[in-house]
Amino acid sequence: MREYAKPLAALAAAAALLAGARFGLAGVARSNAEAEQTAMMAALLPGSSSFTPEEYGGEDENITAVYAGETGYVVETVTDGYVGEIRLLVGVDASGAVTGAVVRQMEETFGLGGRAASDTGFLAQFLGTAGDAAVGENVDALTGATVTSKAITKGINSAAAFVTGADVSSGATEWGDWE
Amino acid sequence: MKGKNLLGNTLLAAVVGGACLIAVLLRTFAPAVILPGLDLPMLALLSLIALTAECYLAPKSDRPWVLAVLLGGATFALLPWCAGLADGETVWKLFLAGAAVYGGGAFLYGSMSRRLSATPAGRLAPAVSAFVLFLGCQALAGLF
Repeated sequence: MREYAKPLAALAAAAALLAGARFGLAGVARSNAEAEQTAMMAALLPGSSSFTPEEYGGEDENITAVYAGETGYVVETVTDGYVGEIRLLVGVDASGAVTGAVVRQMEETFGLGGRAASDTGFLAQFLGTAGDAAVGENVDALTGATVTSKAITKGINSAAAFVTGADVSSGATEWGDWE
Repeated sequence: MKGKNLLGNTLLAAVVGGACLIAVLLRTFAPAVILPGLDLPMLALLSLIALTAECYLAPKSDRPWVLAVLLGGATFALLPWCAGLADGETVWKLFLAGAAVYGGGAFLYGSMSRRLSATPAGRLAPAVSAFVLFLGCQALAGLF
């Protein structure tokens, strides 16, 4: 048997197993993801239980999706962190105050920026802000992760500005910009 | 090619396949979990796990380098694509990055572990080499 037969067979078997798992579980994955997303949005925006996707036609490039609830909006934002993009879901009530925020995807450094996803003390600082969060002023950055902290601040301010109607071109959502 | 084998690539397919399967299951049953990206440290981690296992299972083995590097790249491109973790655009990047990381990692790992294995704590040499190289790769990735 040639020396490359075993690794090729292992590769083919692994590929077949993964493709089978992916397509076999696709339906379950889709329904679980939808249920989890709705539950997460309900937790971020108290008083709302159903959410309707709305098309966003504004100028803020940080905003990627908007969901309208009974008591406000849940806004999805994507900002550039230290390593890669940070995707957030931010709950904002009808008055423009932030009611909750959660990190949905990030690739930040483990032990430094990665803590932003689980550090409730850090994320709690944004509750009640209305586009006026600023690292070094009313928000304490995570130790050793200033860029990540500012990226998250930027996303949350963008979400609040969507509801308050702040003009993003004026720099109203640039509080967290480090450039 | 007598005395050379591709055990490392077989193990790499098992390690990467296992990691991708875990990712598929997490995406299905725990969609809130934040999965780590397929970046250089992750490619290095998976490569080093396979190389460490190879070193313990067949300490004296050598590999046909060109074939090993190409198969390494193919493993990192094909398996994440089959698992839905990479799209068509990133497959080529993963192939090139995977080939470079696995090839470079295997060369550095082999050199380091052979030297360390001559010491009294030789049994730990494969694991120590992998740990040091992973830390180095993490530091290097942070520069870009």
